[in-house]
Formats: sequence, structure tokens, C-alpha cells
Amino acid sequence: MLDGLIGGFHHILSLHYLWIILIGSAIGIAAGATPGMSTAGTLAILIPFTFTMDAIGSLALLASVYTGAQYGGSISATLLNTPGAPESAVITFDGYPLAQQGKAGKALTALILAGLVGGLVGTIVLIGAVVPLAKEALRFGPAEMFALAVFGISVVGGLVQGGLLRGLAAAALGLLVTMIGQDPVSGTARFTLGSTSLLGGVPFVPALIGLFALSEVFSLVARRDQHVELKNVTTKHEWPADRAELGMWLKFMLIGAGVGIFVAVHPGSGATIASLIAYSVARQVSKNHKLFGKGAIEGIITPEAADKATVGAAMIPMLGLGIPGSASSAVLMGAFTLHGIEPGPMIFKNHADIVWSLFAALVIANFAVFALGFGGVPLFARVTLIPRKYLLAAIIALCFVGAYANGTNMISVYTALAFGIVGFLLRRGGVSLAPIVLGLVLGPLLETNLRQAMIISGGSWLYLVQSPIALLLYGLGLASILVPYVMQRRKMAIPHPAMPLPGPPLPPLPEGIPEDGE
Amino acid sequence: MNNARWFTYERAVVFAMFVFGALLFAATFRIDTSTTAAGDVGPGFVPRIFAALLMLCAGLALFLTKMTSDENKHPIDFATVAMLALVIAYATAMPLLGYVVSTFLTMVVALLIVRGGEWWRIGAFAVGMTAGTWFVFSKLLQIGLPLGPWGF
Repeated sequence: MLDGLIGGFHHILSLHYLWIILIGSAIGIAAGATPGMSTAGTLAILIPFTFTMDAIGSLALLASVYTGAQYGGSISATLLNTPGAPESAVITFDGYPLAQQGKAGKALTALILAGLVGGLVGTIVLIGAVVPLAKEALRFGPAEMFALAVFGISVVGGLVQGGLLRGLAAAALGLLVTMIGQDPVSGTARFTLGSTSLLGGVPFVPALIGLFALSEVFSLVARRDQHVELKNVTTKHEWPADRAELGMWLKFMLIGAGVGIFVAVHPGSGATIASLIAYSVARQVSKNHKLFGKGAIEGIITPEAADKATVGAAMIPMLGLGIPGSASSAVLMGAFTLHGIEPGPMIFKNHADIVWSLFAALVIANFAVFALGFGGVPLFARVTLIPRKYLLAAIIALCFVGAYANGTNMISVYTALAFGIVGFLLRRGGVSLAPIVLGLVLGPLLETNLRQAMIISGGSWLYLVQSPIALLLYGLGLASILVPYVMQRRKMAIPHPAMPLPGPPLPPLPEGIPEDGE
Repeated sequence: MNNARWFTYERAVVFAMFVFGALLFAATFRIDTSTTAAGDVGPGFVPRIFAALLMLCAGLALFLTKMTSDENKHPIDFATVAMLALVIAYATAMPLLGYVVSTFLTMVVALLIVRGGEWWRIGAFAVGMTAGTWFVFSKLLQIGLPLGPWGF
């Protein structure tokens, strides 16, 4: 493992890749700070810019953007009470009150330190966990892989906004879309309406661009421009007053990182849920719980560390099992597939050098975001003031040219357009888009492994339930559907965007938060 | 029960998902299964299951899920409808007019829809955005963007 990591750093520590990481981190922070730009949307728009890069450069850029975007959203949440992304919404509860009390400098220092600690802990856990997980998953046959895909779908259905049934329906919609084109076993055309252009299936990257970026344009127009002002706010960093305060900060950073990792390793969960749970835990653990909602520093440190820890942790199921841990990691999967790399158990056999380089890039990206955060907060805060009208016009052009570049044909553009319009209508209808992407990822995995299992067993359905691992995965899948349902019925407090947190009611979330951004 | 209020926008979306599932469920019966291997469930089986799952979940959500009432949603105003029409027109125009002209026109109209300010700001942004994306994709990334009858 250590040799692999040293090899990864050896690859990445060249001026070329370091520039890519620095630029990616800056783009990520700027995009994250811009209200209306979700992390997944930013990644989807940027994928086409990486077409001509080598795999390491492409993934290093996107991983840096992912890392930076998670921090950027917290700047606007603290200074403007306008979170750039849903996972930063919880930062407004205490970050904005701190800024109003003249403690913006301290809040920004706490956020950048929490981000660094959370990000590094998440990356270390990723490095430590993904190799054994992938090794274990290598022993999986078609029955276990089928069970794994079923587990992935069941988990996402239970954890998204809009309720269990709508989440599962969205996942089924994504699964169904992957059935368009030639079937993987016999090559039979399905749902192509006689068009040869659809024989290869629905192109994945244009679909992501449409779902996460183009649909945001319509949402931005529908929400109308909200004027925000940045005035009389100090952005000078302030360190903790003494060792005791630094120790307290560190304690809540580690709590946040732990919560973030625990949540994000469950496929389909993501940063928004992690940051909300972390906030809830911090409020229960802190001696200053009465200050929560009025400017408690723990109220921003813990969710920020959780948020950043999810970046690495969400990659554990993606790299080890081929199941994305969040919408953003699903978009990253698109970047992997563009370079002919299939995330999953075989990745350490076939592309170990690229994966270790990605880990090294993540570590460096955390330090790059830390450095940029210290030096560039005033600049990134100004980014939030870019009028939305220019932003949305730019997104339209980038979506179309990016989709076209994916296949250099108009089918890709029409795909992005169709998914953009459908994505907008679904969002307005309270249907989360993240399960659709998971369906798009897991559909082929489900079908291929089911049919392989059937061929191997000569058509015996019992083959699917004979393995203990498969049974365990089915059980976990069932539990992940039933537990949130039962808890919701009993009105138990699950910290979830759609459910109430324990304790006194939280302050209201500001308007204009994009959905499915994690 | 007041049917007009019960059938909210959110329910209409879930109902549309149910109808989509039903259409594809019906279409699975037309998929040719003559070339399947021994033991294989055939190319129509899995899509049929997914379509049935979509119908089941959307159908149950229609009646069992608590929906937000239309009064609590931003209305779809003229600007949103115009923007939807604009992107459809953009996709239609791109192969006919080429990337440069269609993008410039789309940027101008998009900013007019959202009241982008003085004409020179709109023009400068449209030129900058078109030229910038064209340069990055056509020159730097060497991707051949659609050309119009005038050669660009």
C-alpha cells in the first residue's frame, strides 16, 4: 500500500499536475462559492474540458474541483447567508451570525482548518479502506455483484429528499434509461425507436450535464435573481485564542470527520446529510449548545469537517465496489469511464497507478484549498457577487459545447437538452436527481450480472440467494428501506434534510439552494 | 376531497413517471427474444422489471407520499418558459447555423430574457462567451464544432 502511495506522489509531484491541482482547487472554490452552482453540476460542466488530458491529469483536476467546491460553498454561507451548495446550508445557522457579530475572520479560519482536517482524515480513511474492500469484492461472482447493485439502489431510495417512494421511482427511471440501446448479452435493440444513433445507449456524460447543469439554469431563472451584498465584512483570518480553544476546535473537527466518513460510505448518502448529522451531534456534545443557531463556532467546524471528509469517503464505495457514494462521485465515475477505466474491484489490478495518483492528488488538493482559502477569501467572496443572469447564460453555452464535445455529434446535445428539461421538471416536482444517476450507473451492472448468473446456473433463481454475502447485501438493502420508513412513521429524529433534527428547531434555511449538489 | 387541489404539480410529475413506466412496460413485450442463450432471462425481462418497479413506486407515491401544494412553489413564469424555448431553439439551430452564430444569438436572447443590462454589456458578453468557448474547444482541444453555411 505504501509503495503504491509513494508511486502516486511520484507521479503527481510534477509541475504540470501541481498546476492542474491548483487551478482545479481555485475553480472549485469559486464555483462552490457561487450560489446556484452545485458541485455535481460544476463537475459535469468541466468533464468535457478534460477530454484531451491524460487520465491522471483529468482525475486530478476533477478531484481538486470537488475538494474546492465543498469549501467554497461555506464562504458564501458565512459571509452572505447564501450557501453555494446544499451541503453548506447548515453553515449559515452559525456562520452568518458569527459574521454579523464581527467574527467572520475567526469563522473563516475555523472553516478552512476544519476543511483541511476533515479532508485529510477522509482521504486517509479512503486509502486505508478501499484496497481491502476491493480485494474482498474481487471474490464476488455475478450473484454477489447483482446483490450489491440491488443494495446500492435500495440505499439511495431511502436517503434522498422527496421521500422513499419518489426516490425509488427516480432510481427506477435511471435504471430504465440504461435499457435503451443494444442489450449486453444478445445485442438485441431495445427502445431505440428504430434509430441507429441510440443503439449505443444514452450517452452518460451528456445526461449528467443535462441533469445537473442545464436543469440548474431553468431553476435559476424560475427562482429569479437574488441580489446579495458584501459589505463591512472582515475577511482577515483570526486564530484560536489559546491552546484550549485550539483543542476544542480539533475535537469537533474529528467528530465531524468521523460523522462524515460514517455517512458517506453508505452509497447514495452524501455531504448534505453528513453535515446535518454532524451539526446535530455537535449540538448534543457541545457545552455551548445554547449558542447553536446564534453563532457557535462548533456549529460550523463540525459540519464543515464532515462535509470535507465525505469527498474521500464517498469514493470508497465508488472505487472499491463501483457504486458511487454521492451524486458528485457518480459524475466522477463518468470521468473514469471516459478514459476507459471502470471503477470497481478490478481497478487496482488494471489501473493501480492512476488510482494511487488520484489519492495523492486528493491529499495535495486539500493543502491547495487550505492555501487558497487563506490567501484568497476576499477574491472568492467577490465571485459570489457575479450576477446570476451572466452565470446562467454561460452555463447554457458550456453545457451545449460540452455535450457536443463528448461525442462530436448532435445526439449528445439532444441528450443533454432532454435530460436538462426533464431534470428541471422533476426537481420542481420534488423528485431528487441523485437516484436517477445511481440508476444510470447501476443499471448495466444489475442486468449484466443477473443474466450472467442465470446463464451460469442454467436458469436457476436460487443461485442468486445461495451466497452468504449476497444474502447479507439483500438484508442490508431491505433494512435500508425499512429503517428510514419505520423511523419516519414513529417520528424518530433522523437528521435528514427532509426530517426534523433532535433538539430545538433549527433556523430556517435561506432560499435559493440548489438540490442534489453533493 | 377537492380533486383540483389534490392533483398538484408534484402529483402530475409522479403520474408522468408512472405513464412513462407503463409505456415502456408495454414496449417490452415487443422486444425480440429469439437469440437468447440457455438459461438467460432474455433482453426484455430486466427492462420489464424496471418498468414495473417504476410503475409500482410512482403509483404508490401518487397516493401515499405527502406532496407540496402548488401555492408553496415559485410559478413557472414567462422567463422560464422563454428560456426553455430558447435552449430548444439553440439545439435546433446549432447544426443549421453553426456553433459560432447560434451561440452568439443564444447568449444575446438569453440575456434579453433575464434583462441582462445595457446592449453593449450583452453584446460584449455574447462575443466573449462565444469566442472563448470556440477557442478552448476548437483550437485548444481540437474538437470540430458544427459549422454554418458560411464556413464558421
